[in-house]
Amino acid sequence: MRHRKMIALTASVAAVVAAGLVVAVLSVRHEPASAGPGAAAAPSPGAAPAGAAVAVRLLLSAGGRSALTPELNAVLPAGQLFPEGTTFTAAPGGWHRAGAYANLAGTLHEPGHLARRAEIGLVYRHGRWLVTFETAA
Amino acid sequence: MNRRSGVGRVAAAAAVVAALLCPAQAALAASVPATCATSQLQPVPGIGQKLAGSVPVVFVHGINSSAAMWDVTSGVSIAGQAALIKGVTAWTFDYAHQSLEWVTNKPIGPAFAVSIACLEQASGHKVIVVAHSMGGLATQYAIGYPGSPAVGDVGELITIGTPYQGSPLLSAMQAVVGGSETGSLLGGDAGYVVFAEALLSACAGVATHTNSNPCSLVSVMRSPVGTALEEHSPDINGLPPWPTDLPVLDTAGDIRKIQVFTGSLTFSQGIGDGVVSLASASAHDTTGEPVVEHCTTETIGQLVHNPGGCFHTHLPNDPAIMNAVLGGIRADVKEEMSVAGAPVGVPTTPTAANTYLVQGQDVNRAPLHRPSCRPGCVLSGDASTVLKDTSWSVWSDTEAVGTGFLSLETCTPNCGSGGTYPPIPVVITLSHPVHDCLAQYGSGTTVLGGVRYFWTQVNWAYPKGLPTALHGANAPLNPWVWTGIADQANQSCNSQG
Repeated sequence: MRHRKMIALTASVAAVVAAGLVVAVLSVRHEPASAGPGAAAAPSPGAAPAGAAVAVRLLLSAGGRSALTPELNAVLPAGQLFPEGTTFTAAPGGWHRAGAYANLAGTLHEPGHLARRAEIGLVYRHGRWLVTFETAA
Repeated sequence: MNRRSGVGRVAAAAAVVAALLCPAQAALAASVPATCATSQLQPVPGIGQKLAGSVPVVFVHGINSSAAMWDVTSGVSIAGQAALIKGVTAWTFDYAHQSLEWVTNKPIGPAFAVSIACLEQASGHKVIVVAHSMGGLATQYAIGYPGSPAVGDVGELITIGTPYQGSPLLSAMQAVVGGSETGSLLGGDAGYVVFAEALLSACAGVATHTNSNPCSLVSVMRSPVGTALEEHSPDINGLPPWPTDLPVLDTAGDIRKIQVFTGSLTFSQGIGDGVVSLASASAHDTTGEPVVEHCTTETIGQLVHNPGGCFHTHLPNDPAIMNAVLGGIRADVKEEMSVAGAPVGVPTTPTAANTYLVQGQDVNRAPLHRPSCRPGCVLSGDASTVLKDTSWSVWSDTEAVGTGFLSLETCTPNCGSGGTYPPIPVVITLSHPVHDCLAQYGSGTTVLGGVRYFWTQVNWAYPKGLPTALHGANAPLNPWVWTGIADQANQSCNSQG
């Protein structure tokens, strides 16, 4: 009986973790830049925290430059970073963090182009996540 | 009191152990030692050259590394090839356990000085130092600090990615992690600030204890040497001045562009070898021609996950850098020997490691060692005979035996204008190695270093037979004797007198 309870408990925990992982596969679309920075709450293992997802969503928006660190923004030529409609889908387990720095691996899809694997770098500074790089993975 | 006595006894015992482990140090005060080998200074297996009368070449590693980086058991590594150069004894100096300390620490610069002095004394020749990364600064301290036993003992220094002026990347990383106002850096090294933050982000989740990628800098920046190696640091500026008469050849990597953003807008900049800037790594070259290996654009992801040949720790295995280093050694050895009039009669025999397959029967082309022949090894001068997809079961000092496929042109109507027969499965046996002297004495860009032998005969076996068109008189020569290679090799040795 006790053994059965243990199995049921384990199954429940597994279900919760699995659900978390599904949620972790965030899919962000081009949205207005009005989304505020999320808190750096403890995420599921390998999943990006909400604040990082917000930063990525902002990066793909028309106001994407405000998602960049001021240093990166200063050295990039003027213009919009990504065309409207660009999406980024994070890969399961694609979030890695070390101290204030992190990266998120996933798939970037720009309208009119083939989807490509991409990696986005972030730094947690002054209470929000900022983008430090974006590169093909 | 007892405690102090205990400390004294331990110190005395340590001194005895040190003398046993480090005969070089003990021997300096005595007569010329027969060997200088210690726990830190180890010989590289070579051709049996004795230390006395040889030109010692010491390979010294850099930060967060060890002597294992020189891969001395491989006949094709830079140290392995140097050990095969006639008249040379090759050595490695190791300070792995202190490699995150600054070069003034006793087990680094001072211990290296003792090793250099010992080698100079025992060999009768000045020492050639080949230094990777911080090893160059360890050498600078070793041969110049007040009271150094190695003053004047180094005949040439060859550096590979040595940060003579420190690392701007490390400075930028320290600044951004330390919370400096990065805005103040924008006027100067804005690119390096961007690169540093991108690198720190990309290194999240990547091992930092290995130096196979620049993420090892994360470990370095937290170590005692992390500030010493910052650009133009007081520690670097405080090193003793270089001897004015010491020839120095700098070699460096030049990744011309690192791309940190691949959206519709891009930013990229040169980053040297990914750790040390080109300006820093070539700052003390006295030849006027530092050897620089140039590479094209890498993305930040490539640099972290799969850095190319120009990357800092890959440079010692880069063919252009290897050629430059080995060429420098050979030239210096030749000069040293001619000045000293020392005997250079070293027994030369073929070994599995120093015997090669010549491409296209042209000894000026880079010879091949156990080649996989993908896409193909050209065997004939007219490229009509090509060996492909080869697997070698034997590669000894007398023969090499392998299986693969022979691609033969039909030569219809002429060789070079027609098609090829279907690939023919073959068992190939190479034999009759001849001695070539080009690599020993040097010529132009054909530099491998050391004694080398070339196969001059091929025997074929055809497990599945030959195409009908190649039966009888049309069959490939068997055995096929490469007299042209033997002639070229003999000529290269005879021309040396």
